[in-house]
Amino acid sequence: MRIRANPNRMQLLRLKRRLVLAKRGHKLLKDKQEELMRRFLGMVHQARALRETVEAELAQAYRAFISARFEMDAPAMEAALASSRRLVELHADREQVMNLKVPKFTVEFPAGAEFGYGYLETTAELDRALELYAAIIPHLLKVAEMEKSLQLIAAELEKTRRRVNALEHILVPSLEETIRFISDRLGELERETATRLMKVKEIVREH
Amino acid sequence: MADDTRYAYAVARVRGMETGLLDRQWLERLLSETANGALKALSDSAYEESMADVGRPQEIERGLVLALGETLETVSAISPVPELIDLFRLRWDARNLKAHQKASFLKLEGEIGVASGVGTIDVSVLEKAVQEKDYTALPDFLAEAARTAEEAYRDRGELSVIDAVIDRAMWKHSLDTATGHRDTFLRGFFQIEIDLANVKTFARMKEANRDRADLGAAFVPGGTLELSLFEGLLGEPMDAFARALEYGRYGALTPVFREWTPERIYTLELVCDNVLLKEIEKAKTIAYGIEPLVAFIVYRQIEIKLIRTAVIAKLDGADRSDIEARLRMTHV
Repeated sequence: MRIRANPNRMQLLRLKRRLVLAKRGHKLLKDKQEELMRRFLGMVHQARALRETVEAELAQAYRAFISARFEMDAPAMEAALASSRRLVELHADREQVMNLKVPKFTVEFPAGAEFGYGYLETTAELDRALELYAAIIPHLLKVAEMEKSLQLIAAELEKTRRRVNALEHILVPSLEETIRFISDRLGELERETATRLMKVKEIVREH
Repeated sequence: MADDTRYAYAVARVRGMETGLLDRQWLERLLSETANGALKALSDSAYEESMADVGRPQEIERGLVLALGETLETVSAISPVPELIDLFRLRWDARNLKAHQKASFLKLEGEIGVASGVGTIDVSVLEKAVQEKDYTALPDFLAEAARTAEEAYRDRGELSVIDAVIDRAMWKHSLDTATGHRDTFLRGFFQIEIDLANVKTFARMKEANRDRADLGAAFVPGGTLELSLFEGLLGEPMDAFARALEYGRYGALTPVFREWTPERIYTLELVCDNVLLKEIEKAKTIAYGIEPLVAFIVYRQIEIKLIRTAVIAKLDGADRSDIEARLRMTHV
């Protein structure tokens, strides 16, 4: 599709500059797209493997928890879980990946914190279930971090892909077509002028 | 203790109630049903009254706590010495007191972890006592324990000290009361319970790599196994503990510690219950005495645990083998 522009040298120069810029932009965006895709594919495999691990760990912790529930009555379980004073310190930060800011989580378990329940009404299975759940927290946050990063990268990838396509299939062809049109038009004008001058010369010579 | 004819009526009643205990055949029915079916099946058993208000299997715990409360209350009412049977209910008072104290320190709203209708003291009385820090309405030993627990918590800032202080006081009171009534069976029974509690605590401490100080703080005195035995074995492999128990009263626990794996940690609860059941099997031969009454309470507690396991396993979609792996010797 041709851009509406006056066919003059000024416009031609301007459009040529735009074309150079568009091609450079296209190359840069193409490179960015490739890099994002490379990172995306690398992370997808990692995230999938990590999610599978976390799901298996969660299932194991859940089984331990249900096993604890078999042996403990509901009031004892309620009391035990309500009195836990274990703290998790979560630090949320952002990390720059190309032009994206992806989340970065770090988690710490302050030492000395207690589960806060006694030993008589609770069972070893509950200790195990809670320890398993506590051990999963860093992995769970890693999964959250990776999946959010993947979401952001995927969105950026989509945006970049649309830009690359727009440049490649719309802007660059339009500019080229318009440049070709203006060049043709200017050439035609030049030939017209030359013809007109030759005709004028011929008339002058006859007189 | 020689036959105590004061218990003639109570034992006769208990023998009658024992026929309502769930046997293997009934258990087969429970295992073959769905969670809803299991609830319906319970309505045709000795649990009919306690399950009357339970509409969904998810609420079964309410019915089970009620059933235990009814059992303890009935046995206490027919016992010529209710004070001794009430020691089993006092455990629930201690539990409720701990739950109220912790909720008060953590500023939690509502009755979290409180079971009403099982103990001897109304939960509202306990709640008021904790809120107003006025424990005069409680039995002396419990009031003293509540005050000590409060002070210990203020000093150390650890919630587990509340459990340690109140549990110790509760067990001491149980042992003293049994001794005061010259009831050697009950005293011996409590000692076994204390020993088993200490064995379980030791295993958990070892699993969590806790030190001697933690073990000492959680240890309940009064049993036949001394703290020094556990302390000496805390740094040793589990097998050493198995060897220490092998030729004693708790030899049945040996295989659990020999084949100790975190995945099979539940077998410890199972074997401890079996040790307790083995101990009260002797009660079958006692014609008159507190033994059949205690045995009935223990059987009912185990039965309730089994029903809970079966229903939760069904709600969770667990395999039949998961339930069968948790059967105590009475139902095998």
